[in-house]
Amino acid sequence: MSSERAPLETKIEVSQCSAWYGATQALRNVTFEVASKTTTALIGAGGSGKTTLLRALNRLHDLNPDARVQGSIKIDGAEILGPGVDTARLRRNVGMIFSHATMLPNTIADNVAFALSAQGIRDKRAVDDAIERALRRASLWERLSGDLNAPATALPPDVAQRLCIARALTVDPDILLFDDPASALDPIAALAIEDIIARLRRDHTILIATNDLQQAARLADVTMYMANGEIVEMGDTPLIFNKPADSRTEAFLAGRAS
Amino acid sequence: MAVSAMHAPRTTERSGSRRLAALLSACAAVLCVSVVAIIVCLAAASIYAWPNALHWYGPHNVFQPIWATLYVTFLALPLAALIGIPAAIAVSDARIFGSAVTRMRTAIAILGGFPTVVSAVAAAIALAALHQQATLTAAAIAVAFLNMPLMTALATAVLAGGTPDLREVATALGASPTYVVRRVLLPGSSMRLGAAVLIVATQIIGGAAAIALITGWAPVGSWPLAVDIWAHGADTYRFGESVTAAGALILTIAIWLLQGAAMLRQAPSHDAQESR
Repeated sequence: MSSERAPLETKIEVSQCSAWYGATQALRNVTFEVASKTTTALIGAGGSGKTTLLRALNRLHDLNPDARVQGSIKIDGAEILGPGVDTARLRRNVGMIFSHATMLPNTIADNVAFALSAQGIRDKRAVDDAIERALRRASLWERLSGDLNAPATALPPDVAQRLCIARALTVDPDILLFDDPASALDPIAALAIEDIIARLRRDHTILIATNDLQQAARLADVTMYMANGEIVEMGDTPLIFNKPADSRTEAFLAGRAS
Repeated sequence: MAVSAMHAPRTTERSGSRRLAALLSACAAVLCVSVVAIIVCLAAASIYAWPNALHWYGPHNVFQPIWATLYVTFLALPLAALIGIPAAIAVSDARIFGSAVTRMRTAIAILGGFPTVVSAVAAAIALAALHQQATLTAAAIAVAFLNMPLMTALATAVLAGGTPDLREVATALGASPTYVVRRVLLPGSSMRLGAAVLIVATQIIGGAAAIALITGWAPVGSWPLAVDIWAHGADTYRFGESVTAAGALILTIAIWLLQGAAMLRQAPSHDAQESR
């Protein structure tokens, strides 16, 4: 599959990256590259380091005083670990969608426009346009355009999760990180989320941590299997699922190992 | 035989659970009976006192103590909240003022652990050293400082306990730490912060020892209700004076109302969202 693709520029380069929560090591010398505008699925058992890796990519580990990340992570060739990085700007470029849809305590419009208002953008026309564009991309405009001033906290979980995607899209990030975005949803709602991600693949570099192997197989160009904080195997999705090189990957896919 | 052997531990477990349930119910019942007993005692003791207590020009009416209570509360509470809540914000996020400030949480906890009487003595010594007169205003300011550790501890618990997801989501969208506090954490926690302020209000209204100590029983006009009850409580039966019981009843009801309001504020719609 990779041989059929045109060579793509590297978007993310992770080198010798390790992470700790207190004394517990969550990532062990992880090294990989992600090409621009590809979708990479991170699979592995709970505690394998998928979420830690995603959080390191937009420096969310900074929020945890016990968390520590070492090594190198470059986005578009620029190092994002270490001091002197404009983390607010980084996070606008690397959007994150969490497994649970948490609404900010204000209206639907305020939620979608939050990243813009955090940047100090107040131009009403620009904000309104960005809200409409983001909601359309998350297939929500028809449903919510008449209720933009309603409280976002009252939305049902499936709509709330799509609103979270719209909220991340408002500032048009290059990279989107999805941390098991459909885990709290029913199968139909989960498929709706998958549809949106499938459409976003054309314009964004996507990393999706998921416990749903079928979802990974459907969405990802590349799949990475992680265990105990290490990358066991990474390669084109059909290859990983049909002909894994590592016996541990094979065992995991067959449901024989954690 | 085998069947009864299998069932024996389950039966023992069930009877143990029943005994535990009975014990816990008895504890709860003791508390409920105590509350009712206190109210019945106060109501019975004050039954003939209300005309005197509610007599505007009477020698021992409750209006002046109520006024003094409101004066102390409305001076001390905003001061405690205006310093205590920002302090809680500062110690709750290392990224705002650095990790050194978050370590101050321990100091605040230690300060909050001092008995009120000890802190009040310190405040009285400070006032004396500053040659300040023992006025109700000085006492109210000191009371505000005495209640700041509690205010900070409660607000820190509110900010840290209820909003980790909100903080994370807002940060992931590129918001700065101060923007997250201003636009997300405070609006998202406002109901429960309000509850924390009300709980501190109950402490200020009910706290007599500190004011009495700080003022050194100097003539400061009217005493707040709690001090008034403290000062005259012993005379209640000796002189057949029941006005104090009326004041105690008013104080109890006031604190109940504040506690009820605080409990109502802890179940806002935002909490349901946060817990999802």
